[in-house]
Amino acid sequence: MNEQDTTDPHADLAFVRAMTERAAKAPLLGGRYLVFWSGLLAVAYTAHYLLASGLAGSTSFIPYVWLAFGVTGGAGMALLSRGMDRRVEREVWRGAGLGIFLFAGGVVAAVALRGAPMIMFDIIASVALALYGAALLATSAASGESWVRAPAWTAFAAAAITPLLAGTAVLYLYLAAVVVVIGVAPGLRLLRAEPPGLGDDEAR
Amino acid sequence: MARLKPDSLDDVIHGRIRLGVMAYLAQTGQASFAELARALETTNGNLSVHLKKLEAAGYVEIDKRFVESKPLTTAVMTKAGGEAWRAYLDALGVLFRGEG
Repeated sequence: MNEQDTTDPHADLAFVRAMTERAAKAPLLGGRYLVFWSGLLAVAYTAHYLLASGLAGSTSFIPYVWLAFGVTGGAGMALLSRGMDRRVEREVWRGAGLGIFLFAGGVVAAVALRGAPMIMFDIIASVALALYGAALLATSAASGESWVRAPAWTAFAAAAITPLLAGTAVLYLYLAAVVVVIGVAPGLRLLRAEPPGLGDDEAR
Repeated sequence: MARLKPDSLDDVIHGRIRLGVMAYLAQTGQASFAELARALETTNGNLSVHLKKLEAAGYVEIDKRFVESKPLTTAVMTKAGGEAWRAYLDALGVLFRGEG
């Protein structure tokens, strides 16, 4: 079948099927996002732990840690705006991110406006881990990458454990380790799986 | 094997490279130029010609930007492209029924 005005529909169909299968096996390209956000979170959680536990500085610096996290995250996303995730991935991760952001906003408002207990901030991580796990499961189903289910279920387990550690400084050390396992490690694996030169469009 | 006159097939889509692009994008939504060239096993020049035809028909949008100082061209299937793709598959189905 070439650029012609007659066709063999069987050949057309076979070609369409082959291309669809290739597209379904296209590599996931979210590795850099995972590494960036998880790495940044691990640093922020570790800093939070050091301040909250008294091992370094004082707890009054904790808000600045998360302010720096937000500023760095925003700047990093601008640099990483590669826009190459698959449609399902993009929607799922956008939804999960929005859900986490809105929940965190609700907690901040509750603490600031109604004097809600500060321990509610610790529960943000639990909600984030649950949504993150669901997004990983959806990514696994959409891409056929079954190994992604392992960090997804790890995230669910971590979400269940988080309330047990709420209110303690060690929660943040625990969360730093969790995001390395469920974010940085799979992100690095996805980055390694990207074909060399993907994204380059030389000779155009 | 039957050779049928595909009068009802969309000429813009009908053609190996463009058909491949549409089939690929129908699955992924969007893809980089390099990814499409690799999947279709075609040259950059050939792919570029056919992408421009699909873009002119409004079936794909081409986004060009620089990432890490390298040019990145991304093809995104439009809503019109999705509708045209479904119509193409329907027409292909008619060919099969007519053949039987």
